[in-house]
Amino acid sequence: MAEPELTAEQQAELQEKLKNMSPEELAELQKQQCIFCQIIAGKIPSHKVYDDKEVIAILDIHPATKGQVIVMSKEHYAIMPQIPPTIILKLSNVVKRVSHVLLRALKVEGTSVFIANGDAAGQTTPHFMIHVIPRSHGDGILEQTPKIIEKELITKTKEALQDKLNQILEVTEEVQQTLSTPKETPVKEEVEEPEEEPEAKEKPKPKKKKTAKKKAAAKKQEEPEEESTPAPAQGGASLDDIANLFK
Amino acid sequence: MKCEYCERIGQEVLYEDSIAVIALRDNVLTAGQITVYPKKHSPILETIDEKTFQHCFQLASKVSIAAFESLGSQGTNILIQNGLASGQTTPHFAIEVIPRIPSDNLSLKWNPTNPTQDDLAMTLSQIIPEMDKPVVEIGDEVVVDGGDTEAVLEQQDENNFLLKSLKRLP
Repeated sequence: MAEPELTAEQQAELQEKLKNMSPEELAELQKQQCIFCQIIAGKIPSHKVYDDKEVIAILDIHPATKGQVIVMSKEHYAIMPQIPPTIILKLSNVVKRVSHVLLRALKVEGTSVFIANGDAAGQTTPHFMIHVIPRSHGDGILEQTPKIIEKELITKTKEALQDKLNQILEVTEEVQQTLSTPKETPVKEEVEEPEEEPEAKEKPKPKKKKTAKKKAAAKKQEEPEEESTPAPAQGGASLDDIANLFK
Repeated sequence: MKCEYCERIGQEVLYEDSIAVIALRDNVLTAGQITVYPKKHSPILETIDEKTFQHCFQLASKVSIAAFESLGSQGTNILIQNGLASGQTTPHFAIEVIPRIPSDNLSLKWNPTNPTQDDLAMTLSQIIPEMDKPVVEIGDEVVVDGGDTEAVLEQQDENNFLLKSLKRLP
């Protein structure tokens, strides 16, 4: 769906208005402006496939293929990181059911479940939604050719991601112990410590040693960031340009 | 047939628990892509029990947050290719978390169509009767009760068909 275009004057006016608003007022404004919230409120008619207290599923009016369904939380959230786990759960149930129903009702050969979080991911709506798209061979939707990623890049990604992932998933003590070993001995980085890993975690371990120095350095950069964002729910907050990874 | 997920081929595992695995794979759409999949071999969404899918979906959501905060991605796509027709290449169900930056040259899009209100109403009338049917778990968690036996068998046929198509892959 195209975004509404504003003139320069309107934009300036809007900016001024936004500046003076409290977060609550801003949230309220977002809802008022959100066409999907109006659909949910019943102010705009829609073709409802599913409807309960928290989740709604409707036919997309501009579908990729016949029967494309969008599944949304009734509460307005822009992106997935803002959504509470209980609602994520409900959404997942509805997605599974809708996919199942589309396969059978439309006799299609597959479905795609697609989520776009953020402009960079191609999100065009202000309201978080999950697309369930009926698929047939050769329909050319979401077509992309996979490529082979070099081992080194995978290792780098792992280094950048592992600690944050552990933190968010609240990985058990045992695993964290092994993982935090290089962190506690930053001074002795260069020294080989054979006793370092009592309960080794099989494969990944040897690599960790090689990159212990790099990793410790990376951690130092990450630490202040972690402190400033204790609530992982605010995903949009710390989007720094660590993106060098992908260049 | 070897399953590259079950055999952990070309993977760097980031996390695993009794139900699911989070891994980086070497054959993906973009660097940084993260795959969440159930440990138990299951080809498609329809053959996975609800609890397992809930868990995988929750994990994917958290992986997405981690990608925002640690990979510097400015967006994420979450993609499930369910069935050969949707581009699924491995006969093991998976959720892909794809970190995005504006310059990544990835284009995950479709051409929107413009069905009439009548078309939409027609589609809805096809969908609703299926939607109203009771949910029956399939796969190992098959519930064969009372008069539902026929529906279960029918579903198994459908799964077998999808499974067969996947096995035909080179």
